[in-house]
Amino acid sequence: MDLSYMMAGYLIIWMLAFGFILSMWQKSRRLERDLEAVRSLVEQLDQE
Amino acid sequence: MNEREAQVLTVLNWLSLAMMAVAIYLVFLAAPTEVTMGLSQRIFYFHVGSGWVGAAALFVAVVAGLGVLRTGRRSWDRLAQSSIAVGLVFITMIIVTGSIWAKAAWNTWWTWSPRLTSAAVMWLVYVAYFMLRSAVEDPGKRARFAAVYGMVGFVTVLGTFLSIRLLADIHPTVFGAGAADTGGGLASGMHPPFFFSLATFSVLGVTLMWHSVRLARLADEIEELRIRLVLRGR
Repeated sequence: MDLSYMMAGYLIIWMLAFGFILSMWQKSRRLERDLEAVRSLVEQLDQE
Repeated sequence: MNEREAQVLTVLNWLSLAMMAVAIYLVFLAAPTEVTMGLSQRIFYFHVGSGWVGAAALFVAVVAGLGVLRTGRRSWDRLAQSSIAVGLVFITMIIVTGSIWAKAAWNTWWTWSPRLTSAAVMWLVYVAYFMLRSAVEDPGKRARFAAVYGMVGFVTVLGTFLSIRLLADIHPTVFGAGAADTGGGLASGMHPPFFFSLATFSVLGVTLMWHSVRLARLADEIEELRIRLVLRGR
């Protein structure tokens, strides 16, 4: 019984930590894609 | 992101991971089992670590809020927003793990004691921060409003910390006056895993906050480029 409470406690901690890290990683990938797309548009405009 | 910042962040990522592995070893294999509470007491090592990082992150938001009000610089607002996001994750950890521990120790998931009630209020205040923040459209006003809200909200963090020291509560006090009377205190064998867990969570908190600030900066950079494009007719 003690063991299951301990495991549940740690499982929650790691799930929250990994969930937060995963959300930041996904946001980072999306932002880097957006940045590249916008940068190339700006460069294209600069050349025109 | 400049090269130096990327290097430091990579070091912090690996350091967090390595320290977490050592902390897990210390908590599960090196720490003695508490006589009364048994294995469930081991939740305490990460529960307190989460509380420490949560409170520290929310204090950073107070400092950043002062920075916003004094200088009006967007970088302070990014720091405040990121530290509250990280703080909220960690205070969610304290509440959930505390509730699991409470079930094992007190045979109930929740009780409206001063500590638990003040922690619930603190959590709600910081969840509301993001809802209210997104409701203000003007960036300058939003930053100032969020800065003041973050500073006022910190009263709930102090209230949560002080509740078990000022009011009668079922929640144990681990350090300071009253520790022995409330079933708190630490055996000497518990000190290394406890302090190492605190250090691990501190490094993890700094790493997450730094990543979060970097992402907010990247989002701002994209927004600026989009504005430039709009101004040039695209």
